[in-house]
Formats: sequence, C-alpha cells, structure tokens
Amino acid sequence: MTSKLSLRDVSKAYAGHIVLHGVSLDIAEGSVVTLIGPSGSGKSTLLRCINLLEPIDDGEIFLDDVDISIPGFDANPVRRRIGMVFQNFNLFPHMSVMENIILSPTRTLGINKPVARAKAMELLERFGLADKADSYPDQLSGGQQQRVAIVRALAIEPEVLLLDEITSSLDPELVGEVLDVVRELKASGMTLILATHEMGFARDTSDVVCVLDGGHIIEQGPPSQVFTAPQSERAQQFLQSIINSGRL
Amino acid sequence: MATTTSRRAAYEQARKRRSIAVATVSSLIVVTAIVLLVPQMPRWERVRQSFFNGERFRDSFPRLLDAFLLDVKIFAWSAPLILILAMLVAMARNSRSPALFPLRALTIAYTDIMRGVPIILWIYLIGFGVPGLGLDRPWNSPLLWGSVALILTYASYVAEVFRAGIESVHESQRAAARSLGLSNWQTMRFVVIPQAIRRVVPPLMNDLVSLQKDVALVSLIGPIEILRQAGIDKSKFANFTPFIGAAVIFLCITIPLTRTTDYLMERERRRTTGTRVR
Repeated sequence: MTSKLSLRDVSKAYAGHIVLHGVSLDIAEGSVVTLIGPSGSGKSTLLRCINLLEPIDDGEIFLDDVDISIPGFDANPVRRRIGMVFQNFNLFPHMSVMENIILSPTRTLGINKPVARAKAMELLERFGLADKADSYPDQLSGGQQQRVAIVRALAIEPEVLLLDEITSSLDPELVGEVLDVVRELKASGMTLILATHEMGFARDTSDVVCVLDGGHIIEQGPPSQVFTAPQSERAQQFLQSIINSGRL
Repeated sequence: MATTTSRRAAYEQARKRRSIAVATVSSLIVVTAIVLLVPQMPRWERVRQSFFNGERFRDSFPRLLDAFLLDVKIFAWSAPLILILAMLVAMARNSRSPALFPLRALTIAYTDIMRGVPIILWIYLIGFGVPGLGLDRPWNSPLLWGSVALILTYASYVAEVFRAGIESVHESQRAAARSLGLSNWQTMRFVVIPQAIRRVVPPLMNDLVSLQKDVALVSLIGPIEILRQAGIDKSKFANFTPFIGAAVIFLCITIPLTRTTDYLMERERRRTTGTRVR
C-alpha cells in the first residue's frame, strides 16, 4: 500500500443508530480529499473517527500502514500526526492567540517556549495574523479565529490535516480568507481531508471528492467525474439539488 | 447633544426624577415610623438597656475583636484546604476512566453524606467523637477537629460548585485539546479547569462568605472565639449588647465580601449574556 491514510470498512454507531456503514477510502500522501453530502451523512463523524476522537466499532484505520484503530492504541501520538480544525474554531477563550498556538508544542512535544513562540510567529506571519499574537479569541473576527485555529493545528507539524466544515459558521464575506489558507496548504503539499458545503471550492481544489449519504460513500472519484457524471442515482439527486439551489 | 435632548432621553429623565422622589419619600416615612413608633412599645426601655447599652458595648468590643482573631485564623487555614480538597473531589467525580469507578462512587457518597447532615451535627460528631478515641495532646484539640469538620463539610459543597464549573465547559473544548495531542490530564489542567474556575468565582465567594460566618459554630465544642466570648460577656453582665457587638464585627467583614461577589456576578453576567431587556 502506498496510501498515507487508509480506511477499511469503518463502521460507527451511536446508541443503535448507525452513522457509518463500512466506509473504505484511500488517501494518497499530499492529496486533497473532500467529503460532501447532506447534513447528517456522516462526514464529521468520519473525520472525528480518523482523529480517534470517536472509537470506531468495526473496520481498520491505517496511518502509514500501521493500524491506529486497534482498541487501546495510544491516541495521543497519533493526534500529533493528524491535526484537526473544527467548524466552531474551538479556540481556548482564556488564552491569547500565541498561548493557544504554543500550548501543544510546549506541553506535548517538549519544545521550549522561545523556540515555540518563534515558530508560532512565523506561521502567524505566513497567514497574515502577526499583529494578532497577543489578542484573545473573542477580539477577533470569525475568519481570523478560524485562521488562528488552523495555525494552532499546524504548529504541531501534522502530516495530515482534517478540516471539519471550517467555513460553515463564517459570514459569507469571511469564507474567502479561510479558503485561501486551505489553497496555500494544498500548494505546500500537505495531505488534507475536508468536509465542506463549499461545492465550488471542492470542485476546484480537490484531487478526490467523496459523496456521503446515510453513512455510505455513494460516489467517489476526481471532481471532474463526480460533479459532471455521477454514477449513482442518489448522487445525481444530491448534485441536482445543489445546482438547483445555485451553489455550483 | 447637550442642547437638543431627544424625546426618549427627556422621558427617561423625567421618569428617573419621579422614581427618586418616590423612593426618598417612602424611605423617609418608613424610617420616621420606626424611630417614632418603636420607642412607644411598652418594654422598649428595657430592650434598649439590654441590647443597645453603650457602656457594655465599649467594654466588650475590644475583647470581641480579640476573640474574632481566632475566627479569622480558623477561616485562614480552613479555606485553602477546602478549595484543594473540593477540587480533588470534583476532578475525581469528573474522571472518565472506567478504572476510577470506585473513586467516583466514593466521592458521590462523600458529597451526599456531608451535605445531607447539618454542619453543626458534623462539628459535634467529629469535634467530640474523634478526640473521644483517647488521642493525646495536641491531637485531641477541639479547635483541630472542629476545623476538620468545617473543612470536610464545606469541601463537599464547594466540590459541587467546581463540578458544575467543570461540566459547564463545552465538550468541543475538550475535543480541540485532545485533537492537539494533549492527554486527558493535560486537557483538564490547561483547558478545562482554568475556564471552570473563572466561571465559578461568584458562587465560590458566596460559599466563602458563609464559611466566614459558620466558623463561629466551632465555638459549640469549646474554643473561645467571638460568639463564645460574647456569650461569656453576656452572662457576666446579664446583658445582650455583646451579641450586637459580635454582629457588627461580622457585618464589617461579610458586607464588603457580599458586595464584591455581586459585582463579580454582575460582571460575569454582562460578559456572558446579551443586551438587557427592560
């Protein structure tokens, strides 16, 4: 196998309600994989399972050919290799931007503070946030908060980054600045898995698009194929409804 | 702005003037009534003599103040221990590891039992019971075991306050911390507990104000603190004025503390809720 990350028949249920039905997916190093589909189709759950925030019930998840989904597997080192950014930013409100970013590097990687600060500052500069280092999250706009959350996830130098509907709670005029960051991450060769409702972005940026519905991947392939000639009927319906609502 | 007052502002101003006038007049009526009517009561003169006796007040006050030092001391060594014990209990109760189930069960039993019995009973039971085991000095001191009783009961109340604070921190904060590779303990230590403590400062202050008063209950098993000193003075001169003196001393401490608590609560409320509705 040459995949960076690979899912084999991953299943997950909450209190009897099945959220993921045997999902299989291979993600090549440096590729951008987009999960689309209606709300409740299992996109977020899939990302949370990859990050080991939720234990899966069945199946396997391989990171560099190592099964990380074995029950009892130490999740913390895995999470340092797979970063995650959330829909509602989830910045720590009692910490400044700088403290948010250096918390994990200093506490989990043992990097000393001056070094961690310098690295954080570099990242902040790269994403145009250098003047916000000493601000607190609630002093920033939604777009700025989300960019800080991305910087925080990047500070532990993950190999894969999971982006869970990171533009869904932003005002429309702030979406662009966050998507620009994602484009830059793609250009830098990072492996990205994102759940999104931004169909235009998914079409233009992804290497692979997966359409999820009811916990199944019902369509999977390059965006040119998925968005123009979907095979399954359900995927055709979903895309038609998106086109009808003017989102593509 | 200074020259042209808006219609709304003029209305608000008039309303405010009217409210102040009403409040002033009604307060004056009540105060006058009390000042004029209470002395008309048949036995007012005797009550004044036995509760508001200036000479007795001046005589007792320094002794009361002296005895109050012991209250302050008990408070000073109990409060930090209460906070530490309460935090440990709250954290044990919020632990998620299945292996810690016995510890969780124990903390639930502890808070239920300590909170389910009046403090005064605990002071008697622990303050008389433990030294009754035949311990030698200084381990048989009622001051020691009275304080232990206070610490154990108050820690159970404060633990619930901390627990509420910990539970009020949204699950997504934990998810974010865990996704960054922080361990469960690091997540508690750096993300959950700092936010929890900030949120519970006002109710915590409330409990500390109560503690400041309840310290006086330790007097029931012996130590001569302010309440007991007032009782001694009362018996010696057959006059209740020392109790008034003790009340005055307590108020000097508790009123500023209560005001501060209200201020903190108001600040927290302003921070967390939206525009106030009339």
